[in-house]
Amino acid sequence: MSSSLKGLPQLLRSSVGTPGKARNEPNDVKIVQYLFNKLKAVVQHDIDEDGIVSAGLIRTISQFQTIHLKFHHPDGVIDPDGKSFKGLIAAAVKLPPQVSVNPFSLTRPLSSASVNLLHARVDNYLSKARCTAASEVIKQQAIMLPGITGATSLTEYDYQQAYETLNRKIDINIIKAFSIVESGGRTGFNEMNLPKIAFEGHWFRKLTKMKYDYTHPSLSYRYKKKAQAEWQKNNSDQRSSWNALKAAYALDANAAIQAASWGMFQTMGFNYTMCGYKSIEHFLCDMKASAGKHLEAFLIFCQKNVALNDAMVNKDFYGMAYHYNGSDFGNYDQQMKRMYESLNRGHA
Amino acid sequence: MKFNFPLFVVTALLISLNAYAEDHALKSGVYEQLKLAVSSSGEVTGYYADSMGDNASQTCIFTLHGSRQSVGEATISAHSAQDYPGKLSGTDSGVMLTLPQGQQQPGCMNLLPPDVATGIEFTRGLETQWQTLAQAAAEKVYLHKSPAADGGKKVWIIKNDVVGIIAKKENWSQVQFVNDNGKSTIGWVETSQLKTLTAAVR
Repeated sequence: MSSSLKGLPQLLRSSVGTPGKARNEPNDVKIVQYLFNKLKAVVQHDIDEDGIVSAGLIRTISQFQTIHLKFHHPDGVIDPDGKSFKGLIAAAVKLPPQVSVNPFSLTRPLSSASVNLLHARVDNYLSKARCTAASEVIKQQAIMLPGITGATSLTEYDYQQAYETLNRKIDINIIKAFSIVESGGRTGFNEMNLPKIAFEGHWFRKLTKMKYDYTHPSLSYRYKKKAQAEWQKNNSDQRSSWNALKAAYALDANAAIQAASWGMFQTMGFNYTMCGYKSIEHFLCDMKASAGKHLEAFLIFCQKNVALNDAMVNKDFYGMAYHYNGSDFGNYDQQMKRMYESLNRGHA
Repeated sequence: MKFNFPLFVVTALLISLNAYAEDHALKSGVYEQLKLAVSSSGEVTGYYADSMGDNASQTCIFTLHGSRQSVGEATISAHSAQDYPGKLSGTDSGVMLTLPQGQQQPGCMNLLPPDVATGIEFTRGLETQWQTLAQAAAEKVYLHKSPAADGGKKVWIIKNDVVGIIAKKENWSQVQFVNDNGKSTIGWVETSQLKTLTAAVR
């Protein structure tokens, strides 16, 4: 809910509650009183909407903080952008929208016009908060929606497209041999019809500036060694990886996508600009789309590495394996050479 | 126009500047994927190693060499297949590594984000007294309790393991090895069983 209040106009101008800790502007007090009256089922009693802080109102705020927000040290204060205010709004938006009738505003017609105006303002705010929260839910769920638009394994057409994308500078069989070996035979998509991913919490930590280290230690953790316990738990299978991504996405969508490796070539999301994308959303869309898009992004990315690109142009298998994988490339150079020769003979 | 600042203001400013410099000093230690040694004379040696997932077919390994320009900053050169210039700066909780061409290093394009060109922060996990770094040259190198062949063996490290050198005594070096789980062991090894730090180039 806290993130969903972003973008909404300020409802309270100053804090309400315990005197000495809060400014208690009458209009702000009335707003809080009205909000609690909307939550009558929760607070169990009516509150006079008079704009004056009473012992009863402070007690109501404190009880709400203790019982509903689980505060260990309730202070009886609602700050304009604090946890108590967000909690109050979160509780209020869960109620079905209704025309509020407050007995006190009827019995005290003195300021009924201004009270009604204030009610309208609060109701309008809650309506917007409800819409924002709904959009947020849709956005959160959207990450898990498949988006396949083409073949999930590479086709001859994909290789031809890649050949053209690379301006015909690299032999098409080099593209094929390199792609086949570097993808390790992976299809790039999982049983949920989503691209295969791995979630890298140590990069999520850096991308979010360690903001979630304490609140979400399984998603945001310091690097200790490759595939450490948190990594293993997050990536025990594809469902786990996607659940980790979904949880991280709820905290920071952009950082979450960047902190995962994607598709056939396990391209890190933080390289989306290097893969030719202007936005992370475009990258995500293409990673969900097809194996052909995985190949295209991967090859554009590879072109950015001068030594790797030269090795591909010059059919230097050692250079291709070394510059993409680093020194521990096993026998990838030999595998690529054999694959290339086999493709040239018309096999494979 | 002449400004006269009270002495206590100037003193407070100097103290806070000094505290800032001390907080942001480059220090030897383990910074996630980066091991760093800063000698008392300001020589900087580093070793960066990262790999992809649990079935590592991609590895990004390079060494750093350079010298401290100020308490909190060093110009460095990253080396793997070739040299790439960069810098290291001390931060509140670690170091900032800046390598404008960092992704060009073998194996690093998918393991280092493009942000390395403008700086990535690595958090300090362990502060050490390392003067420089070295690697085990022999297949098996024993860490002794004292600088003598009969000085009692503690544990051993294997070829290419990276250690921090704390001190030297005749033909012996006092080293500290920190394993993947962060467990640290200090012992003495014969200096001849160590080699200069190099990135693993095939």
